[in-house]
Amino acid sequence: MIMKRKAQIRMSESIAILFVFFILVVFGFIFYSKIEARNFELQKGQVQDLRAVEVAQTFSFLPEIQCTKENVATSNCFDIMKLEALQEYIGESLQNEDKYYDKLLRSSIVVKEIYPSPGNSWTIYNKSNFAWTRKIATQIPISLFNATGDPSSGEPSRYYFGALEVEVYS
Amino acid sequence: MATNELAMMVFGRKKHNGNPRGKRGQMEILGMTVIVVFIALGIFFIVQYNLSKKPGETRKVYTQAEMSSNMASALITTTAKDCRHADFLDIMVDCADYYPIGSIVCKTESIAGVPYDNMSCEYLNYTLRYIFNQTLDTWHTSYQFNISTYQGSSIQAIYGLANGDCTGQKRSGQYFFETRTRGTMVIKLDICD
Repeated sequence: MIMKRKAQIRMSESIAILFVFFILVVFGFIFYSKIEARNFELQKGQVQDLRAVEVAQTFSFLPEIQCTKENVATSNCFDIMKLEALQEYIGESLQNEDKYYDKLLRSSIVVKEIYPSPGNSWTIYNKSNFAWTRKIATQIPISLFNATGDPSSGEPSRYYFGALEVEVYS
Repeated sequence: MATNELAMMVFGRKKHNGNPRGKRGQMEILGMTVIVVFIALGIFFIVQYNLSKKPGETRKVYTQAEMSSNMASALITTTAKDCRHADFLDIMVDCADYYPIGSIVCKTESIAGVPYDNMSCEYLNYTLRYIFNQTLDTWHTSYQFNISTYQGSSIQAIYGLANGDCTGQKRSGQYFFETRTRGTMVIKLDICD
């Protein structure tokens, strides 16, 4: 009789231990999966951020729009005439726009003049016409070069202050 | 009797008061507890480190670095709208040389019929304020912008503008130019976290 009771106590003890063990395993698994999910989101965000930086960098160094002086490219400067030509070329057809897709991905790129005429802006590329979940906006101050100046008043070429606004969608 | 049974359930053997084997068991349990506490603390710190990682560091570093260097370089090359086609660098150097008024007459306005000359320092003051307001202020970026001259041990602050808290980490863009009478002029923009 005593032996039977002892065995019952041992059995219930083992069951209790197993129960606690499985609860701990379940908690551990939930905790681990939450951490992993967060890490995955972090990595995804980091990749998207890198892509946004890549797009901004690629556009900043496009030879199509960079200012040049005696065939030497000036960094951080866009030639307004070249910008307008590129805007016209990309806006001409979808095929032309698609030629830039591998470089500029799903993004919208706007160049804004801030000083002296804050109203002027050029939307160079716009691929925002799809359902996106995240938008990363990057603004970079730039110089805008007006090579012609104002021929009517005889003003020479001049530099304006502007901003490059890149929005990358994912 | 009851304590002996409980001790048997917990430790798997009978409790013997003053018995060295019972004491050794207690020490083992204490050791195990210490190990468990250390492991728990380790897990806690690892988890806390993982949770404290913030997304967007790469882009933030790139944006701040680009902002600080590009903003200053774009500013100095910009041609002033109504200041005899001078660029901002010329105006800054003139303001530094003839501080606090400047020698270049940027534009002459008429205030209540009286002609009023906007000299380079005043022109620089309101134009830079406008440009920073339209860019970094609008983008909610904390910054510190300073123009100063260094000649020997004397430092003269020419222009200063700031927005937000700048006590933490910052990325700087610095440009050095020679003035005619005031030594070296330093244009410095700090973009802050």
